[in-house]
Amino acid sequence: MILFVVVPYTISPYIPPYISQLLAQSEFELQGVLNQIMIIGAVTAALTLVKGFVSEASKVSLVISVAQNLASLVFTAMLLGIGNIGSLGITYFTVRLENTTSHIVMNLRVFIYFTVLIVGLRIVEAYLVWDEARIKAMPPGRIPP
Amino acid sequence: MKASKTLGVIITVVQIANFVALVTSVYTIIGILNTTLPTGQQVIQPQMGDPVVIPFTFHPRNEGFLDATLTVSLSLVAGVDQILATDSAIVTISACNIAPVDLELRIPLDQYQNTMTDPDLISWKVDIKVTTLFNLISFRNTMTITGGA
Repeated sequence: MILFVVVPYTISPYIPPYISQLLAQSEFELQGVLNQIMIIGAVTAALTLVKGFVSEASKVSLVISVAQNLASLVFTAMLLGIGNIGSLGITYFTVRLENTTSHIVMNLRVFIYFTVLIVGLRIVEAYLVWDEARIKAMPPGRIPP
Repeated sequence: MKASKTLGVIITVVQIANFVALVTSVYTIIGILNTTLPTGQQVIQPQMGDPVVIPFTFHPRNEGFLDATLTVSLSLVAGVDQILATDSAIVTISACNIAPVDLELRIPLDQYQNTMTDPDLISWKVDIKVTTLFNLISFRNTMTITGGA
């Protein structure tokens, strides 16, 4: 909550002027990226809070675990796309400095695939943890379905 | 060992591999870009003749831990899009190694004399592309420098 909501909310005045100027010349919307980080941070914090109040064996716990993993996928896509989630790791931006114009293309899409793999495995892990908790929570002598 | 624990270990290994790949790739790309692009004021010395030859040498150094492929393209452009001369090279730089890149722009003498009278009309187009991690990730910077600088 502090890392992804409070820090992005309060960081703007502390960014050095030369970095702000460079970002402005590169058509990069820092405030937009910070807003996205705060939204994802708030959603993740809310999910974590709710999860703390529900039983590990309940279906709500499983749904929250899946949602948390999907939020981490969105967060990674946002970071690799420098604020543009839809670019899926391929980022285009232009920097103009005096008499030089630079068109930059970064292709980091393979890390999106890696993250999808990790999130997929973590969802399976969340299901296994939930299933084990469900069996553990059953009354003695009951055969799990 | 429970299935969830086993899977947890596998996930941790994949996450570490992902992180290491990201850091080493970005480090490799930044190192090559830093050493390819010349810093400070550069003096261009054309070799007069017909054609006029303008030589360029880049000294990219791969300070990273992964092999990388560097593509450099250099063009001299008159007006909006009239390419006077262009040259390009592709080199593969192995980890912790240097691979100098020599380019030459050859311009017919009459064209050179016509266009170089007004440096504001000419521009340089430099296209640098670095790929690494088995060509899975790349960084491309296409620069247009106006005013004959």
